[in-house]
Amino acid sequence: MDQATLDLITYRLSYVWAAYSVVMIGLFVYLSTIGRRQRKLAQDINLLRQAIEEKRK
Amino acid sequence: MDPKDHGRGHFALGWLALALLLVSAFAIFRYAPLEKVMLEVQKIFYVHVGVAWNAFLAFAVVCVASIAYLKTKNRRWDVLAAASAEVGLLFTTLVLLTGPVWGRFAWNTWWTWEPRLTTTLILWFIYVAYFLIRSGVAEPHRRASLSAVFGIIGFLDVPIIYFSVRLWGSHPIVLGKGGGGLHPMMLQALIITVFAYTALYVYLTQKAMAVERAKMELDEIKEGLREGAQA
Amino acid sequence: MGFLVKVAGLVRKDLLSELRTKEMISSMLIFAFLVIVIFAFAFEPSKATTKAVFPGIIWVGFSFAGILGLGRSFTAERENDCLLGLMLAPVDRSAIYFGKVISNFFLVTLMQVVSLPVFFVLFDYRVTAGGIGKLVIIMVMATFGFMAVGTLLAALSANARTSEILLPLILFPIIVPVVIAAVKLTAMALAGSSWGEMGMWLRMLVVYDVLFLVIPFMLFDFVLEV
Repeated sequence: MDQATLDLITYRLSYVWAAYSVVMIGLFVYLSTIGRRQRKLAQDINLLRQAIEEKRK
Repeated sequence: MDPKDHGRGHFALGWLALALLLVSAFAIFRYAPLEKVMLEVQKIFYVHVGVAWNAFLAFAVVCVASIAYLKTKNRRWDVLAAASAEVGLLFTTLVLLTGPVWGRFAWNTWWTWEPRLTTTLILWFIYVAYFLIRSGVAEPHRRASLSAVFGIIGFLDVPIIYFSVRLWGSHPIVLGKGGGGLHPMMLQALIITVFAYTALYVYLTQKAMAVERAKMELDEIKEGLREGAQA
Repeated sequence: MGFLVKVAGLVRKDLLSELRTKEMISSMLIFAFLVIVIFAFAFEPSKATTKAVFPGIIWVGFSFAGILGLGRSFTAERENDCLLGLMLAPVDRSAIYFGKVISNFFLVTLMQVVSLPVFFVLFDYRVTAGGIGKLVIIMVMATFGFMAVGTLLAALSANARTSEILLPLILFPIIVPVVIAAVKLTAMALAGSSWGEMGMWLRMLVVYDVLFLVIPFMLFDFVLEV
């Protein structure tokens, strides 16, 4: 295999790489936002619950 | 309810999705033969179709859950519809991003008004509209009813949009995108990929549902506080 | 009292209040004229390329002006709790839907009938009588589908905080098939095509009209519930 063919393969693989990394990055970003939202909601709920408990006392 | 509570089998499903994704990666890059025209670039096809299939599945779930909500008025269906729409929007976005990468190589242009790609774009707009409705209505029951109505209308519109765009464009319709018939081994790799992304779709939807349920609970606590303050 | 009488009563009420205020029809008309003027500046009316996109220009004007009117049809009812009064009226909710569809259809068609000649004159577009006849039928069919689904979504967005900006954003993706069909059919009618050549598009438009009259009719109850 000469250099030109290798270059062509690399060129084509760059497209494959771009498409798959877009998907993986998208999924990763979504998973991390979900995690962040979950933590934030859990925090808010706990805070409110504590406030209610203290009021009762 | 704990926002981290995802329902039964969530943990196992996550591992199943991951395993299936690894198997599908193997099937795509090692098992399926190299396509003759597009060569390596044809490998994009698998992930593109796998995600696209689930983007449409997600919207079908939104429609069914919306009908179920309007019939039963059970908030659980609204939670499912909202979660499925969220994952559907993510998947539609991914389809719209991988499509042009394929198109740049195959047709030397980032975007073509090809019927399926165009329908996906309109679907994306419909998903966005769905969330605009959800964010524009504060009262939970009203929000659920209105977004359910739009979910049904939007889903029923998709086949007509596809048909009209096909009728409109004199652009080439690339059947199967691999060009004509698909090699049996390519088809097997495709099926595995579709299943992998379906498992991932269910997994992500469960996560999004947990967030929606937690939001619902937060709303209820706040509502309780408001009533307590008034009393 | 029959269902049709009730619908007719609601249509009469809408048209009467419109006749007194003229706020929907006047704003739609002015808007359509403005679109014509803007397009005349954007695309040289004497050029051949402009003749080619003329059907598109017409429908951009009609759909934007139509959405303007649709948005008003339910937000106007919010003043003085008119919507609540309508819902308390001893009529079926579907009668309210059909009444609104018919009155919106009537007003938007009126806007189109008045502004269409202006489009032709200002863009100096020559057309045969047969072409105009076909165009009118196409306009009626497209506008009906547009109003059938538009009325439901207008009622829906009237419930939201951001109703004015929400309506175009949720309505345009849904009416994509109508807009495509209307532009294509208009171009064919103006080019002198026969009904036979338009067959597929007309059938698609009929399917759209029927589907989006029946489905909103079934769903309208849920949009108005308190």
